[in-house]
Amino acid sequence: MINVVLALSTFEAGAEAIASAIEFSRVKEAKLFAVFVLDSTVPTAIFDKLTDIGFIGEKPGAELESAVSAEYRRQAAATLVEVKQAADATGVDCEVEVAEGDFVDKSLEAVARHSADTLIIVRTRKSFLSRLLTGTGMENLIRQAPCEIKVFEA
Amino acid sequence: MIPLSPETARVKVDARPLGIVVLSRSARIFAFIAIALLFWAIVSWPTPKGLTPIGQRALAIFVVSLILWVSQLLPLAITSLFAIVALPMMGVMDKAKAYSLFGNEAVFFIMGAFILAAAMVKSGLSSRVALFFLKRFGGGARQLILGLLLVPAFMAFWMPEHAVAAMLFPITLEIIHSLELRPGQSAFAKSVFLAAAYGAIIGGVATFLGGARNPLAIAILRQTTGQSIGFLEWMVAVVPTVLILLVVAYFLILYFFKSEITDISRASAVLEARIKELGKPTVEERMIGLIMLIAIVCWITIGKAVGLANIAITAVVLMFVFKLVSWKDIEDYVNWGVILMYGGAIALGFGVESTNAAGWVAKSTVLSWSLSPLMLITIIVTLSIFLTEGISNAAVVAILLPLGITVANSFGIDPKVMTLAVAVPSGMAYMLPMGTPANAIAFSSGFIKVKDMVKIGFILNIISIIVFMVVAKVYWPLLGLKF
Repeated sequence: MINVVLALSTFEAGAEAIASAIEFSRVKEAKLFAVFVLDSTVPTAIFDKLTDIGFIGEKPGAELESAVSAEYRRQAAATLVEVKQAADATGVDCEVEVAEGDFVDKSLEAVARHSADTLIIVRTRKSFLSRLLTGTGMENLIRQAPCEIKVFEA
Repeated sequence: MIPLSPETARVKVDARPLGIVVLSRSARIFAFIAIALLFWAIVSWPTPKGLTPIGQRALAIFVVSLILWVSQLLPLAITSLFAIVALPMMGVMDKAKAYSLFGNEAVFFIMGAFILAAAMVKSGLSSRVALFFLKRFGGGARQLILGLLLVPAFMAFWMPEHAVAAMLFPITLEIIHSLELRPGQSAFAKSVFLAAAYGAIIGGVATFLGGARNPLAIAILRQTTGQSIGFLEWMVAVVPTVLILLVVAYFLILYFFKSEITDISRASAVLEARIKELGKPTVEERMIGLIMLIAIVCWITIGKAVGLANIAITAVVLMFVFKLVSWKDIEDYVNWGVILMYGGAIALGFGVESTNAAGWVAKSTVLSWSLSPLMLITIIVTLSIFLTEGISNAAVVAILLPLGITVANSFGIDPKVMTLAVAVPSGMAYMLPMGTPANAIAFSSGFIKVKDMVKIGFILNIISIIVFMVVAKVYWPLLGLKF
């Protein structure tokens, strides 16, 4: 049986792409590991800028960061429940997990941990501006992935 | 295919071409070297006619500060520190004068306003007021959006807009959760976050308390011309624009994000539950509210005579006299970098104006074009509103206002008009997440995409320019503000 890792994050997820990933696993009779990375890069960049340009104090900054983290966890849990339910419904063996940190690092860690043959990532179509703001992690991941990589556009 | 163990996974491999890797890692150094060379070039260039050597040095400091503020290669406050050190070192002004500008009344007013806002947030008074008004808008989805626009707008009249946006964020999240809305799927969720952000932004231009750029603009006006705009005078001039823009923003949000839900009873229940959780107002909340109310009345009625900063600091002292807040609370809630930023910006503004560097730039550029005052103000307003999308709104004021006031004098435009034309639009950043903290907070929710913000924000920018200009041309002459 081949192993497939589906890497998702707050800024890189989409229902159609998730469905495509599940269908790919079903056709290949693969075991699917869905990893939702709580990517700290984007909120950290946002709150660093807020401190700098908005002169937000330490405590309100920390409170905001914790509210955002809690929100990302909630979104991760809801997405993974959907993935699990959809996989179960199509008979795909699926495990879900949440990781915290850099999207590229955590995705590569999941690939190594599960000895994945294929890494599936969801790429949201973005404008130049969006890419500037949410980084180019996806391109780095595509370059560094040690296995077959499939990119689904959300 | 190379198998990757967990150990090797921790090693980051930069697979880009070597030249790109070296360039990207040394870009920052090259940028600083280029800025230093530009500074040297401006200082050592033969002094042009109409510019004094001291003015030339002031201009060099201004250009470097402008680049650093725009590029944000350094934190804004550190760039201001650079300016305040460079001005006496380059002989532009006496060091005693440069450092004394940190003690400007505007800086102390801003400090006082931030401390008062911190007390309101810490005590829970701001959340109580927000919830009290929000629950009155629980009749339906459209009504809730209206509430989420009006409540932060009204609150940003009396406390910094970023504090309002930060305070409202957990409330908006709870509303979203109660309605089980999902990112990427819900237009109503987008409208909730955008309404809260735009409400705070639009309301933040109405008084000196909504954004520190407003007192900064007044300080630059006073330092360069000796004139000033009072608290009430500002409100009377700006509030009509605010009211019109709130109406426009409401309909634009409804148009762009058509709500997929009608029943918001669960959101209303959440608001009710939050209010119940807060219980009855504490003595501290009542006292802080009373002191804030007295301060507002004083700013409006006797602000010009007594001094805005004196009223703000007296209110802060009273809060400590009654033990309503502790110094630890204030330290946690206030970012003291604000003092460095604004002190430096005022000193730089004074430096370029007093050495006639601003006058020379104006003569070499704007004054050589045959513009009508109306065209000039339109250009300034447009420049302010689009510049503020990319850089801090305080930096927009620090960069544009010293030049703007000089140009205004040459065109026979009331400098107060120019001050309003720079300061008010510089607070209207709707398009980009990093334009202003309120947008960044909304974007960080994960519910809004950049393209959502750009689309509606651009239209709101254009409408803001039109509304501002119409109000300025039709209504301001009634207040004696003519151009």
